[in-house]
Amino acid sequence: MQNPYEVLGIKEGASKEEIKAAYREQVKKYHPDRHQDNPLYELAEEKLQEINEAYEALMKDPGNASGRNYRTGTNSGSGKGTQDLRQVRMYIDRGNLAAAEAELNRTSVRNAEWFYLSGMLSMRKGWYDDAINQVQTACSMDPTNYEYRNAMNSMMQTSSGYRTMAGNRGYNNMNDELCRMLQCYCCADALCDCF
Amino acid sequence: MLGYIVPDKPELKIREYELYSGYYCGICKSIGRRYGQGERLVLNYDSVLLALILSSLSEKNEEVSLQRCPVHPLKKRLIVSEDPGIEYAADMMLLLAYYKFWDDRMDEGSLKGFIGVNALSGSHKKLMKKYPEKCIMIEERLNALHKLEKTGVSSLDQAAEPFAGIMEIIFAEEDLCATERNAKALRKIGYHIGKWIYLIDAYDDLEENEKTGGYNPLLFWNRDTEDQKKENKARVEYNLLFYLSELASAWETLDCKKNRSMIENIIYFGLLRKTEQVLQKGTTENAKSI
Repeated sequence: MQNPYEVLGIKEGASKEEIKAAYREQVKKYHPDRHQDNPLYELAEEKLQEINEAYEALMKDPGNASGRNYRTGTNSGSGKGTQDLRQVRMYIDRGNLAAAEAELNRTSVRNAEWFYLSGMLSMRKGWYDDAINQVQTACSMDPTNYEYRNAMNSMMQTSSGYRTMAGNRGYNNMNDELCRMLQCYCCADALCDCF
Repeated sequence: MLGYIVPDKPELKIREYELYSGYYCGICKSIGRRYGQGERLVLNYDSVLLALILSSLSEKNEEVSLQRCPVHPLKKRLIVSEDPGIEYAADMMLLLAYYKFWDDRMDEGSLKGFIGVNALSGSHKKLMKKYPEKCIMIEERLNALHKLEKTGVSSLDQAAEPFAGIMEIIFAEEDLCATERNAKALRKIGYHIGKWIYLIDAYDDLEENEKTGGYNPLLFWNRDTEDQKKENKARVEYNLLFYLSELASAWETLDCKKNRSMIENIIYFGLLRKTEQVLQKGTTENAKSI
């Protein structure tokens, strides 16, 4: 594994806030959505993977994650579980949902990332209720994870975004107005009867 | 289940309202001409959106005429003449109506289901010939739905999937959409309309299902305290608006060539109005025929 500090482009011994800020920036830069239909897609995907790992490593154990432990550059036994989840991430990004689902079911660890990825899979399937429940679980298991929180916020935003769009187009909650209109109509009608 | 997809009438222009009604009558006429007068009884508003969207993919203006109709003998009405979109929407509505009866019959062996299936069996034969794959896929999904209901599945998404799949099939009209992108957008619109109808109907029927013991995925949620009920309502709202948001984004990718404001009235106003009505009151009266 590479030096996580290098991956995120920060100095060793940076504070949690700095790590978070750097992580946010990098995720924005390499998010696959920005590179769709573009030759950089796979590269960005790989890079994002590295960034996520680096961030996870630093958030888990910021004191210990000194450069020395990471110089080898190869995978230093991050455990079978994480390895499988990395595969799941790739499948989901590439839209191979069946493979992602099979891989998720096969994985034995049920950690925050597992729930997060299940949520992302549900999201892709159009199962938004499942998606938010899974991501919520991920968030409560790992409240500091920016990626999970970010995903949850974006789901809430998608949902409420529709109402905003409707509002911008002139949707009005016309309960009051309608009552008034009906009243006027009744009055006018009554007047007509007089003549 | 039917009649949720309606425009927000006060926000329609008069001319749009006339044209909307014209589409409705056009679908009705199309059914009457091709399948028989009795079949016209299954008419509902949901199909108008499909006809409008399909017709909007072509630049050609509608041909309209003033005609009399046996249901409204006194006044001549504006009717949009048959075009491929109207014809397809009419077929699909009839197909859905048939399968609704089919499903009723399977559910409780209800008398209504039996009568309905028998009454529409002739039309169904014709439709089966015209759309064999669609019919088979719909039947598969109805069987899946039935199985899920029997086992009492508690996941909302799992429960809604077969119906959403059916609506996806209904909206997947490939001949009229010039591009693959349009076809994809139509399927996505169909899927999300299906999910929206399923959930709004489930929420609307919740109390009734509770009394009668009918299957409803929302019955699995905790609903003992007022707070929990409020939470559930927020969850239903999140889901319903999510469907509509995805539906709207699919709509935005469609090459619409006419009637945009009318269709958007349904997508952005009508569906939101219905959502809010159902969330507020719990129950609503569905639209009556024009």
